[in-house]
Amino acid sequence: MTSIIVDETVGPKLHAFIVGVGSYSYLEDGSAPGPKLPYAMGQLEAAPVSALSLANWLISQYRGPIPLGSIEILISSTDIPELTLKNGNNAKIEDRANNGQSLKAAFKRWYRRLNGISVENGMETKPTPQLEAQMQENVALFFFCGHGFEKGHVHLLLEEFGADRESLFENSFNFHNFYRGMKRAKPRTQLYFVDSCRTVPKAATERDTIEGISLIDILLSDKNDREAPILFSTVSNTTAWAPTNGTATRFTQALIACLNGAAGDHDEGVWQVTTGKLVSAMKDLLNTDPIKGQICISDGDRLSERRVLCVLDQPPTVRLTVACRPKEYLKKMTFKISNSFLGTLHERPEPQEEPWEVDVKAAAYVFEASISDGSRQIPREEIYVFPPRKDRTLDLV
Amino acid sequence: MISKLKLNFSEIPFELAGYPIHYKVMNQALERVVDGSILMDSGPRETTISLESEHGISAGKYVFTLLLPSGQMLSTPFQVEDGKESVVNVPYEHSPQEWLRSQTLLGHSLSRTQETLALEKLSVSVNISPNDPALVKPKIDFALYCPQYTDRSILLYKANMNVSAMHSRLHIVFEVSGQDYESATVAELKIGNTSRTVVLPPLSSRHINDQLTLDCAWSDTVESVTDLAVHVNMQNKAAQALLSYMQRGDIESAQKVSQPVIDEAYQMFREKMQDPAAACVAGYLLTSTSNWKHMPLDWCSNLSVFFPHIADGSIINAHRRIVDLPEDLSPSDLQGIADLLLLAAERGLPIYSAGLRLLNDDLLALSNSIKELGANKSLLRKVDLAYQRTTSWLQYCDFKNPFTTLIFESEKESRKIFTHQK
Repeated sequence: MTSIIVDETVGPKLHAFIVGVGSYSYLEDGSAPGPKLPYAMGQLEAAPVSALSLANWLISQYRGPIPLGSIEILISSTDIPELTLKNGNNAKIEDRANNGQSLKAAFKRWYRRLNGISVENGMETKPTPQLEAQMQENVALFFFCGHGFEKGHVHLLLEEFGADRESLFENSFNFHNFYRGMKRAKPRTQLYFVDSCRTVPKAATERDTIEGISLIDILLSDKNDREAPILFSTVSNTTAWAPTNGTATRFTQALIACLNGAAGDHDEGVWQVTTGKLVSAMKDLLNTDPIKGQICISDGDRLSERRVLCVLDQPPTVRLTVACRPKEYLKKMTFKISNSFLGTLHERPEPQEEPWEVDVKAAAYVFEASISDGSRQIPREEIYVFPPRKDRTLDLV
Repeated sequence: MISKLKLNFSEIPFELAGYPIHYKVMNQALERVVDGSILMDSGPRETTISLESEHGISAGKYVFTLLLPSGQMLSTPFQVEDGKESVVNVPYEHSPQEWLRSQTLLGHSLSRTQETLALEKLSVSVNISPNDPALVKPKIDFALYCPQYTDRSILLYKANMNVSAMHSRLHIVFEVSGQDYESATVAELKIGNTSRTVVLPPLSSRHINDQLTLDCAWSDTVESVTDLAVHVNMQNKAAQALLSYMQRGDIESAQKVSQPVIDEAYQMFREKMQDPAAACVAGYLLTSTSNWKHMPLDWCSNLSVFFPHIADGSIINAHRRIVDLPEDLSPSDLQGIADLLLLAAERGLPIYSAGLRLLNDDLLALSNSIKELGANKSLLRKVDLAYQRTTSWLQYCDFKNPFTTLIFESEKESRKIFTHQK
């Protein structure tokens, strides 16, 4: 089962297409017999975990201006993973992202839902003009986690990549062409998340052309002035790193954190996550302290940047980090923040060597710092703790 | 004994200023006795060449030959008398053979099936030898080229190089200046067999003494061009900022000051005649944010027509036309778009990597659309050839750089794309 249908009622919906490829049969430590491809690429434990994390979040925690309609999900993993549905039942994810056939079939189902295309007796029926107009309000979400590379375009690799050494890339697909082709889809809001490497492997440099699977043709008549940001986990020609401790990738964790409120914006009394804020918050979270030079970057067609994706029922939680310069002062400093209107108080009454990190609700606070030996007075100040994070460094030089 | 040969040039067109004209002096046996080149200034000009006896020049009859920018070879007999000045009048006329000269010089035909881009060398290469040679190992070579044939003479950039240390890194900075306001140039950096070609925009006529800088951040670990961080900086800081927004995908930052950014882009697009490179940046930003009302069709057309040596203008023009196509495409719609896209591909490498991707995408969309409508086989063949050509550029393109940058790991790879004409 790869189609998780959540809501079939009439009206615009969010439809997600999630692909997580952790098992690569023909790469290092892969399950296929015989020698493996020598491209320094192996199995990715974090990819299925990441894909499942996002799918579980959508099912259990997503709250947007439009409901979740469906999740089309393909997972290539060493086991058969399960999703927990809202009614408490478990759904096994049995279909794998193994080759073009499975990818195309899943894509087709997702594409039809996005565009209101029905199938009767094996024949596709186009939507009525009224339904077609409604489909423009759908939100398309695409997420991929697995191996990838870039040679002109970003290519994403499926489980059976390398099955035929003579046609090495037949189980990969050209993300860029897929993205451009999706201009034909009706939804005016489309989100794309690509968590993969963008380096050029030797296998690619040796070939003049890399075709791969084509999911949808690009045509001149494709017209959609869409809000369609792409977030890549890394920039061109660089590697994306995956953890091996059973957790989701840093990119996925940041994405879920952003949707949970780290990309929250306060507009007309409502906390919400918009397309523009999601993109900037993701980059803020991931790029402030990048690991091994991995920099998140955005691309794609952009319009207003203000399409609301999630609505938050309370102010989001934000990480506040307080440090000082020179940092030796931390050993004798205490901190306190308070908001009398909210009735909140957070403090670190005992000095410590490390910066103070505390998760607080987004708001304005009175911030107080004091030095235990009384050698200096530090005036109180008002600080605004706003998503995605707040760093305050006291200059005591 | 020194005799003098005075050359009286008639009116030289402004655009030929800086163009080197090669001359030869032959004796009656048609043996070359003196040769050299003269750097042209615009307007009428007199130049005197010294003919010294050590060149084998003695009193007698000689032939003076000159390869004019028009493509014509001028041969004029003159007589040398000891210690006297001889005079040769040099007319300048546009010649119907100019286009032929370009091809002859560059060694390729005008056919759209041309697979490699000819690069004509514009200036001497600079071998980097900073004060402390230990800092720059291995050697880096720098040269400037014209990226495609032109139907007129090519203007010279002047390149200066300096080396400075900033933030504990060594920066090799090339300052490129000159008078070229209309065409792109290719800068080539070579380390060993690896090479990086960066397309440089034309200079802006809005800025007095406009110049570009090519900043190569150097460290001890650099062994090939792939290790080298190269930044191109324009003097037009507004254009550079828009480019930076686009490059980082940082439209959301731009949107914080939303209308001013779009207005800035609109203004730049309008002032294309003074600064076509900035206008192209603006065109791409407006395209990526679907601001079609800020891109009137005639402006897009002018950007393409007035700057035939910049591929970006025709790419933006073609894409703008595509946006306005009706839903049901006719064969004439496809032919119209094909003409514009083929022209863009024929003009060679665009200045900006965003343009290369857009051109490649639009050619693929056109090819698919022709197939869907029923094959016009000859048109389809031309479009597919152009698509293959731009795809081959794309595969070497480093999209981290907003200026089209192709990286080659070997000379063999470079030769798949470029034919160097020196």
